[in-house]
Amino acid sequence: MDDLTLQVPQGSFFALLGPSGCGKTTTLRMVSGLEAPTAGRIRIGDSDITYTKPYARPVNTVFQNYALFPHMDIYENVAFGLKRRGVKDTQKQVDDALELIQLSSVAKRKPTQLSGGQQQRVALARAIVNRPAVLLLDEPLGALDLKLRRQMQLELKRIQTEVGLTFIHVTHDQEEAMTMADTVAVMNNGIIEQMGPPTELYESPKYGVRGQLPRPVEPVPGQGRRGGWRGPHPRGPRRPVPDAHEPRRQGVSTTAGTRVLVGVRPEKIAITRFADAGEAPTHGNFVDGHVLSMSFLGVSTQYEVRTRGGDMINVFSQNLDVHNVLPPGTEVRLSWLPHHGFVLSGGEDIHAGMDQAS
Amino acid sequence: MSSATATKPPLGFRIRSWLGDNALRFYAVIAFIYLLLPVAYTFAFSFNNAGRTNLVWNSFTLDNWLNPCGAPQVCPSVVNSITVALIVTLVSTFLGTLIAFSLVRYRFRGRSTTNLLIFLPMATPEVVLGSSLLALFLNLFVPLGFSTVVIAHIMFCISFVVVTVKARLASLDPRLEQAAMDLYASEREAFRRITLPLVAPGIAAAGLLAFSLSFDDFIITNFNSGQFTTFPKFVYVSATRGIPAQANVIASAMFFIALAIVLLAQLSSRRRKAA
Repeated sequence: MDDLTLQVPQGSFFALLGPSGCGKTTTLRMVSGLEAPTAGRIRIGDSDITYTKPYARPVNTVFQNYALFPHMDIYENVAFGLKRRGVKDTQKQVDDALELIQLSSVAKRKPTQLSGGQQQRVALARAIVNRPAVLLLDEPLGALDLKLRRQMQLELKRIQTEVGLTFIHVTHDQEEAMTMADTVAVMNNGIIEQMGPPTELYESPKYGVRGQLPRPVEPVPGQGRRGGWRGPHPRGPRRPVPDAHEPRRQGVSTTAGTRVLVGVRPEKIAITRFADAGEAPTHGNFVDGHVLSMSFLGVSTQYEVRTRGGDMINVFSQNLDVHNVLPPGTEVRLSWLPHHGFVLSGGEDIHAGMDQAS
Repeated sequence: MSSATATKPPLGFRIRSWLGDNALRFYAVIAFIYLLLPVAYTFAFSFNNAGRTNLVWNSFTLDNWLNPCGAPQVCPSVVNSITVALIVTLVSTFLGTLIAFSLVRYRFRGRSTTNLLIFLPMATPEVVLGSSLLALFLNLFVPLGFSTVVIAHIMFCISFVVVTVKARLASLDPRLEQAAMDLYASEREAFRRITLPLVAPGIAAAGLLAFSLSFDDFIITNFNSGQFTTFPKFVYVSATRGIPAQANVIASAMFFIALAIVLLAQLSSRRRKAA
């Protein structure tokens, strides 16, 4: 863990996104009190809880493996926190919590008799019933299959909106973080690299300080030229980059000769047959290449294109026209609007950090 | 479908598949006969109207069961054995559980050495353990009797308790305790409400094991008991003169009590699962 400063607004759904070993779980354990920071402070509202015992904090955790108590039934599991705090009448609150997760019918069952998704919801109810100031979720959906995960993402968001608690959610799944959170913090090697609402993170990701490329981003290497950049075939025309004041530029210089990477999200690339493309556009970004492989995904078609510069670029093309599928080998032109691209410093290896991330 | 029922598979195939389906059953029956025949024999001869020795069948009688203390020394030795076993169970389960917790929960210098040393009494032949203990007691001028038997039994029972409780404790997810603390339980409460109930079956099993090991032990007891007589020692000593049928009664009764305990445990765990 490095120097880390986080401000989580009350009542928000906050996601900590990062690869395993980046320090996100450690951050969570510090907030819950299971680990102590070597330096620094943890505050909730006005009270400092840095060295408070875990059971004295207004914080509850949904553990990755749920950690339901196997010798107690669901009702007792959910009532556990209330009873420890000396709440006399737990019946009503537990019933409400079970209703919130729509599992009132299994109150008398043991955790092992429930499915993974149900156990997950019980773990959530067990934490929520205490109305903590902060609810921590440690990869809560990691053990579920894809379909159930989608369902639970929406469910979690619904519950958070309904109860209005502050959620801090730790995950390595970018999609999951974006689906649920109001604010996403991208964490790497113990520091926050970027923080903002999901759309901002997606549309203008930062090229990580430690060289991790935000995904999915299709990078095209090139050279800076005055007022723009030049693609992989240097004799081609100058192409524009986002204006200097746009966040996508991130202050990366494109003075002549500097190496740059221009990245673009794969769904923002238009793909056309080279034969139909006509003249090279004077204002706009493009790369030429040929289709290497094509997979039909239903809502879209994914193309793998090898550019003439030898780079691989993925393109998601919406299936607006049934007949417009391009078979492998087709010469194509990929183009995108200048303000859809973002400029990354090209000095670093574009694949750095990718293996680390997985 | 009709063609499949019309043509039967060839005879050889049917014999082979029948054998394949039932071979395990044959094997299981034979294995159980082998295991239980001595028990059945002991049980049957507890009803023998024995004369001087209980080796040949005379006639059926209930006298032995109605008067289990009929033969001299039988009941006092059983009482001795049970007393020893109860004390040994309590002490060794308590100490062994503490050792198991410290071995699983804490990292300290000499932890792996301790682990190894705990195993040692289980691996050492009982004759060696018994005779060296005797030598120790004699050198220290400790009079042989009840207390030396208890000390000897506790010594070898602790290892079994540690191993049993350790296995249970190792399979316990430490995150359960963390979850309890996260849910406002103090360390003490987390132990009482989460750890202890979850480890309890292991401790109970260890206790039963210690009891039966102590009750059953002959070799180490024989070395260290002096004039003190336990049930196994009584049976051994009387074997030279002829074992009274009452010994069969006691043995059969122990068997059925043990069986009842196992059945009860199974039943209650099944009910707990069904609930």
